[in-house]
Amino acid sequence: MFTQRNPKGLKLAAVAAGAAMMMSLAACSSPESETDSDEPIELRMAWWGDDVRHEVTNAALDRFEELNPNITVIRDFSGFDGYLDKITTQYTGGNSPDVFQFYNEVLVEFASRGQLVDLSENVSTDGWPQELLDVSTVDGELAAMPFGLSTQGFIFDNTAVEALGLTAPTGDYSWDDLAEFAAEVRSASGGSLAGVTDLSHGYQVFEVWAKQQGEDFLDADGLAFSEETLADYWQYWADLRESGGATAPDITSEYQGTPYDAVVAGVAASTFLFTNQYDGVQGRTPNVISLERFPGEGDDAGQYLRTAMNLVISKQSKHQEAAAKLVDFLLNDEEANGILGLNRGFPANANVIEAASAGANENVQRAIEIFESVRENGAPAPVPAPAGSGTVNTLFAEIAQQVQFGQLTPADAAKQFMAQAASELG
Amino acid sequence: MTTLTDPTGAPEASSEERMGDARARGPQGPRARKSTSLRRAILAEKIAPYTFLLPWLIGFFVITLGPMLYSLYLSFTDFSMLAPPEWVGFDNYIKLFTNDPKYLDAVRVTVVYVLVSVPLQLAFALLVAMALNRGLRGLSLYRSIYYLPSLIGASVAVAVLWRQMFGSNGLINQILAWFGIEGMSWIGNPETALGTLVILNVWTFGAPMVIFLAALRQVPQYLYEAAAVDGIGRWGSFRHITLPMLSPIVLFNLVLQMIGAFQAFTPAFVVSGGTGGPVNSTLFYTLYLYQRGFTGFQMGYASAMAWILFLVIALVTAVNFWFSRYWVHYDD
Repeated sequence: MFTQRNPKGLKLAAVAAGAAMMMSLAACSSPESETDSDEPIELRMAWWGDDVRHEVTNAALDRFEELNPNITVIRDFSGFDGYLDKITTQYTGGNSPDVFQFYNEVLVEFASRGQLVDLSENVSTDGWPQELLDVSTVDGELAAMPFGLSTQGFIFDNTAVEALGLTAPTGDYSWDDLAEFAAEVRSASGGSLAGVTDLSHGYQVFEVWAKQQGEDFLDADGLAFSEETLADYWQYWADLRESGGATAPDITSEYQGTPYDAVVAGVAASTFLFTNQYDGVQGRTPNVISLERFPGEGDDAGQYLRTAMNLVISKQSKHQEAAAKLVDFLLNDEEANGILGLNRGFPANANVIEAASAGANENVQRAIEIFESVRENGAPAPVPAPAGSGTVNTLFAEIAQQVQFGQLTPADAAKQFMAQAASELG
Repeated sequence: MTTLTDPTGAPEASSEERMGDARARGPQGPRARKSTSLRRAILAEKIAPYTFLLPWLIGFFVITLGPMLYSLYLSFTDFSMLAPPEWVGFDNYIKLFTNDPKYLDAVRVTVVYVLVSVPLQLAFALLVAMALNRGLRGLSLYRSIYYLPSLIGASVAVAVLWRQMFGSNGLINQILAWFGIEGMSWIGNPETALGTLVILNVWTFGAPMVIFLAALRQVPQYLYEAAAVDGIGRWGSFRHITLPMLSPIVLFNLVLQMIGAFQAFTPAFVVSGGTGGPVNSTLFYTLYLYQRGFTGFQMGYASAMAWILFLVIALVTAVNFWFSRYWVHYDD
């Protein structure tokens, strides 16, 4: 029908349409040229957290924008799920955020491939303890700076425990004390309340156990503990499962990612967490939750001052100087830390600790107490985990689960883990 | 469509062709104008469909085929996404089949999921379609309600809901408590975790059901009447009339649902929290692929897994079609 009408005009339209579509497909990222520091600069910052963290971080960034009128910070905040995938995908696409929050376990994966900027050049480290900077140094470069310190802790649901006529452990208590307490809770409650959530799959809990024996979890060369230590650890939890003190395996796997939710839900009477999570957890339940150190901390302390999260600058950033300014502001500026508070944990820079701690509520005060006690009596922080550690951590949880469900004995499981983990890291 | 041939050499042109010639003739005179404008017309008519297809073609090459070929290339490399890909040849494929027990677990879980949930879902869909085919009042309302789950079934929201429902404190256990049955953590137990995902897939029976319903209405009534005269029972008429008449649709739904089930991801990811469930009991193939690719920084390895899945699905579909000659009855 149309062919006889106006073939010429149709061909023209076809070519024009095709050309228009081709052009609209052309990826339009105009290369930015960073020349003058007065030129308007757009930075992107990404972080994860809860609503409180989003609030305080946005407020701090607003203040930064006020002080630096030529810099705008585009914010990208979300929950923790899928955060790593998001960052990795953005890196592959070449549009990673200029500044972003990052966690220890994957630091080396990125730093060893040269994807992070050396921060020591542009960010002041005055007031920073040297050992903390060493821990974040990969291949001689300061790949990240801690954006909040915390330490491990153990919480006890005092309200539920006292209702059973028992008292929760406090101060210095041993792993055996915990086992006894847990079994008592289970029997006193007629089987409805577990004493402690089964933590055999938690590599972060095992790390403290190993450090208490004078070993470590991972170091730069790979596994840093003996098979015996691991077998003992898994045996401890197997015994606890048998005595009823620990949660049943199916309950454990339901709360695998967030064991403190089991305490909030009234399923278990105690579990581990990191001190900067304590405030949030206590806020979610009317029961009184007490915070103590890990069991077995007395003389051979295994807890350490842990970088809860880091701040890094991407090598792909086109405004590295401005990004460094932002990092410096967030980490070293007193006003910024007054706004950020202690939501991410303790600031590493000793100069701003006071500003950040102003107005801390009693839960956070308690967390500070534990933190200070670990600063006085704690183990040295481990070096950044080597590449491939992500798979090892997953493997740890998997094999532990097989023990939980009775598919492997602790001794066999430890042997299997040592072999498989070595091959993943090697 | 008229085939416009060059009239100068044609032995005998049909009336249509001669009409076409006449229209193709320009004002200057027949012979001079004929060939060029004819050729233009032929060309335009041939190009026209492609012009309309252009948007889809661009999308196909740029968004589908292009990335697929790139992932084929990646499957022969070691690619951490943070550094350029390094060629490793067939290493990824070899490792998959010889040195990765978790991979075999993932294959087993996925195959079990497909073989259990798809027949269950289709049987349920057919059952409900037949029930609805009796001419209930409010048929369109029921149809819409039953179709709704299949729209949202693969979403994150529903998977989160499922995780809650089948948890130790969830809705299912609360309902069971009314009957005095003590429930367990359905998603925490390796023996039942996959079952919750099968139930989720069966719950989305709406899409195949709607298709079955339409097909049921196509079965000619006189067949049933003739069979009734012969004294055939309800089961007999189902087995000898309904099923054979429906068999092409059953094949269609079967193939479609199997392809979808092999690729299931979201429910497993959300219900197991990204871990693949207690002791790998919900480790779907695509979930393991995702773990290797993103958490393990081994995108080359994950690409190899993806291509194997592609080949397996293609093979399964081909086998389905091959077997269909034995049980699918096409109305001619």
